[in-house]
Amino acid sequence: MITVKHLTKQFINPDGSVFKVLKDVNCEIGRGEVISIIGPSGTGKSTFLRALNLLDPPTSGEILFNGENIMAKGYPLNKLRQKMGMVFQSFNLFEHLSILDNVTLAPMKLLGYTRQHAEEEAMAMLRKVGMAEKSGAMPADLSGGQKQRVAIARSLAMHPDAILFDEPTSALDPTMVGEVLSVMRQLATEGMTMLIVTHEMKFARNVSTRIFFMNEGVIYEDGTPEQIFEHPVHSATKAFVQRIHKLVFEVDSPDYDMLDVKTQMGQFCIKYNVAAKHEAACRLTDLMTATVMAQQYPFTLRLTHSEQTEVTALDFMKEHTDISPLQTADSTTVEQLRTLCKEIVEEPTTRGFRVKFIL
Amino acid sequence: MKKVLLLILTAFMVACGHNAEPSIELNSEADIAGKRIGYVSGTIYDLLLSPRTDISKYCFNAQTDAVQALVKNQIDIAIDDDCNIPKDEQRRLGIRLALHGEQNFECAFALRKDAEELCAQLSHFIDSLKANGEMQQLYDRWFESDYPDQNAMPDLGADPQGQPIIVCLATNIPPVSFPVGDEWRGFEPEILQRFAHAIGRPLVFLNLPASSAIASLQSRKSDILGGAIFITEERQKTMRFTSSHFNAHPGYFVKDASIQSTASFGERMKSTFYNNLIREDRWRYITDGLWETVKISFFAILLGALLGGGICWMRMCRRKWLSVTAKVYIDLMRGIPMLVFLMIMFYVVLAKAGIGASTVAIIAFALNFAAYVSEMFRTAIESVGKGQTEAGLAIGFTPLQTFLHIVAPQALRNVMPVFKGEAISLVKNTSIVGYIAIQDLTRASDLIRNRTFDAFFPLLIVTIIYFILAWLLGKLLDLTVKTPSKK
Repeated sequence: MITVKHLTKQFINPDGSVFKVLKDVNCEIGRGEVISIIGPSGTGKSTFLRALNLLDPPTSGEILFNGENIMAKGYPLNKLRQKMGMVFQSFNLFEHLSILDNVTLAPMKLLGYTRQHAEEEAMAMLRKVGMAEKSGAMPADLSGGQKQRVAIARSLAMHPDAILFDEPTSALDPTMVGEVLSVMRQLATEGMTMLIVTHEMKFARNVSTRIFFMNEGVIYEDGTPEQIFEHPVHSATKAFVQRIHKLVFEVDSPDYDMLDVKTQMGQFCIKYNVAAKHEAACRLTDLMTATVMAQQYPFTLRLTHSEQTEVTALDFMKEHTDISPLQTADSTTVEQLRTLCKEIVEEPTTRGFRVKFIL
Repeated sequence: MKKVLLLILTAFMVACGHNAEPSIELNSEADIAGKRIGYVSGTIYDLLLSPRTDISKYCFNAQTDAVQALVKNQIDIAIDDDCNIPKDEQRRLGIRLALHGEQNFECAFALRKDAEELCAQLSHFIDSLKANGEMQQLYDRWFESDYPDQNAMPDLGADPQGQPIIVCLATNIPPVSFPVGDEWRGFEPEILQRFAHAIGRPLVFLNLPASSAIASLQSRKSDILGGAIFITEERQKTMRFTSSHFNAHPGYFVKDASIQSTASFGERMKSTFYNNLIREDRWRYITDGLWETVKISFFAILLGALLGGGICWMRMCRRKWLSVTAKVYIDLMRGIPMLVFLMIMFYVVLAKAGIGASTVAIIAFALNFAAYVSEMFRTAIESVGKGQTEAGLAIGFTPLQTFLHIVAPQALRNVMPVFKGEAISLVKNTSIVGYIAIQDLTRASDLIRNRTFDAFFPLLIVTIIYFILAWLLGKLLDLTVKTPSKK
C-alpha cells in the first residue's frame, strides 16, 4: 500500500550547517500490516512518520501510496490525509469542541455526512474506544489516556486506510498507557494498517507484524518481532532491544588515569543497580592491566550492562589482532581471573579480538 | 473615619462655591492686575493679554468653560466679547459685565483669499444694509433684546436653488449666532440669509467647534467664516475680510455676589432639566448625537475588524514585503494621535474626495482600529497551539479549512476580552469627531452647554449614555462568541 524509496530529509541549522535526519529510507508497507518503528531517540522515527503524510515534507525520495507518487506536484494532499489518519503524542484534540464534535467535525465537513449520520457513527467509534459516556465533555475535562482514545476515535471516523501513531503513549502517565495500548491492540486485531512509533517494547513485540529498527537516519533492521528481539543481526539493534548500556575507555598508555576509570565504573554500577559487581570489575581491571594487557597498549576497556538480560560484562578489546591476549598469559593469572568472574569469553571481532568477563 | 467624612464634607462645600466674597469692582482695565483671568484660546484675547505679565492667565477651549470656571470661583474675571453672554443668562448664572474694554473690534465675515467675487458681493450687501439703516435695525433687534434667543428669523420664502454657500460660524451663543435644532439663528445668520436670497444661492451651515472653524475655511470645507470674527492684521494675511458689520468690545465679566438664587433644590433641578433638554427641543441634540456616535462606532468597528483581519494576514504572510508593509502600517498608525489623524484625514487626505464627514470619521477610526486589532488577532492566532493546525491538516482539511474550522474559533475566543476593550475604547474615542463638524454625543453636550452655560447636567447625561453604550456593546460582543457549555 505504501512504498518508500530513498527518502531523505535534512534541516539547515541556523549556522548554515546541514543536519540530515533521514539519510536513505526504503520500505514497503502492505495492507493490514502493523509496524512498530523503534530505535534510539533522535534517529528520525517521528520525522519518518510525519514525512509519510507530508506533515514534514521530505527533501528528496519517493513515497507511493496505492501506486501514486504523493510528492508529485498537484497531488491532492488533503485527500491523501483523509485516507491516512494520524494520532499525535500530544493528542491535539480540538480544544473548542466537545468530544462528540471532535469526532464529527471532519466527516461532516469533508465527507459530507449529515449531522445525524456523523453523530451515529461517532458514537459507535466512541463506544469502541470506551469514551461514549464522555461524548458531551470538553477535551480539557479528560485525562491524557481518555484524550488519546478520543483522538483514535477521531481518526477512525474518517474510515482511513492506515493510521500513523506518533509516540501515542509517550506523554501519558504510566497508569494510563494500558488503556490506550489496549485500544490499539484491538484495532490491530481488526486488521487496520498501522504504523506506530513507540518506546513500548513489550507492546511492539506482541502486537506488531513487523518491526523497523531505525538508527542514524535509516531503517537499520527490518524484520518480524522475533527476528528483531531474539536474533538481531546488527549489534546496534541488539544493544537497543536488550537495552544495553555502555561505559567505554580508550586506554592508550600505562599513564592512563585508572583511578578515574574505577570511579566511573562505580557510578555506572550504582546507576544500573549492580553495585555488588563493582569490586570484581575493579579487581579484574587491576589484574588485567598489570599482567595480560601490560604490553598491549592501546586497548579499549568497556563495561556493559543489559537491562533486558541483566548481564554485566567487562570487555578488553585489542584492535588489529586475531590472537587472544590471554594466550600469552601464564596459567596462574588466568586462574586468578577466573575466580573473579562467572565466565570468560574470548572472541574475535571485526576489528580485532575481545576478551569478555561476565560479572 | 470621622476625619475622612469631615474632609469630604469640606470638599463638597468648597465645590458648591458658597463663599461670600464681595464681587470685584473694575473701573479701568488697569484694575485686572493680580487677578486670575480666563479667556478662550484662539481668540483676540490671547493676543490682547499676551503682553500682560501681572495677571494669571487661564486659557479655555470654549466660552462656556470659561464662564463655568468663573461661576465656580476658579477664576476672578472672564474676558469675552461684551455681546457674547446674553443678559438673561448673566442673571441666571450670577455674573455681570463689570467693564467694557476700550478696544473697538471691527467684526466682519472672513473668506478665502481667492474668493474675491463672493467677498465683494457680500461687502457690497453689508454696505448697502448700513447705508439704508437696516443694519442698525437688525443690530437693535438682536443685541438690545433681553431674550434674543426667542427672536424669530425672517421669512424670506422658499430657498433658492443653485450652488450652496457653506458657512461656518465660530460662535454659537445668542445674539451673534446660535443653532436651534437644525436651524441657525441670530444676527449674523440673518444677514447671511438675506444675502443668500439676494444673490439667489442656498445657504448651508457647517457646525464646527471654534478651534476647527478657520481650518475648515482653508481646506475649502466652508466658504464663509463668521461668528464675531475680528479683523486683525495677522488674519488679513491669510484671509479676505468683508466690510465690517458690527463693532464689539472686550467684556470683563465677574461674579455678581448680589444675585443669590432663591429657588429651592427641586425647582433648580426642574429648571436645569427644562433648560438643558426640553427648551427648544434640545434633547434632539442628544438623540441625533447618539445616533451619529452609534453609526460611526458600529461601522468603524465592523470595517476595522475586517481590515484588521486582512492586515493580520499580511503580517503573518511568508512573503517578506507583505509582512513588512503591514508592520510599517501598524507602527505608523499606533504612533499618530487619533485626533491628529482624524484632522489630517478630513482636512488634508480626503479634503477633496467629496465624502461626508461621518464617512471620513468611519474610515479614520476603522484604519486606526485595524492597526490595533490586527496585532491582537495575530497574538490570538499564535496562541492557538501548533498541534491544532497539525491535527486539522492530518485529518485532511486544507490549510484554509483548518484555519476556519479549528484555529479561528479558538483564536476568536482568545481575542474577545481584549477586542471588547478596544471596541469600547473606540466608542469613547469617537467623542473627538466634533473637530470635523460631526454632531456626535459629546458635541451635543457642548452645544447644550454653550447655550445653557451649565457644565454639569449635559455632561452627566452623555456620561451615562456612553456608559450604557459601552455596556451594551460588551454584551453584544459576548453574544457573538458562544462560550462552550460544560456538561
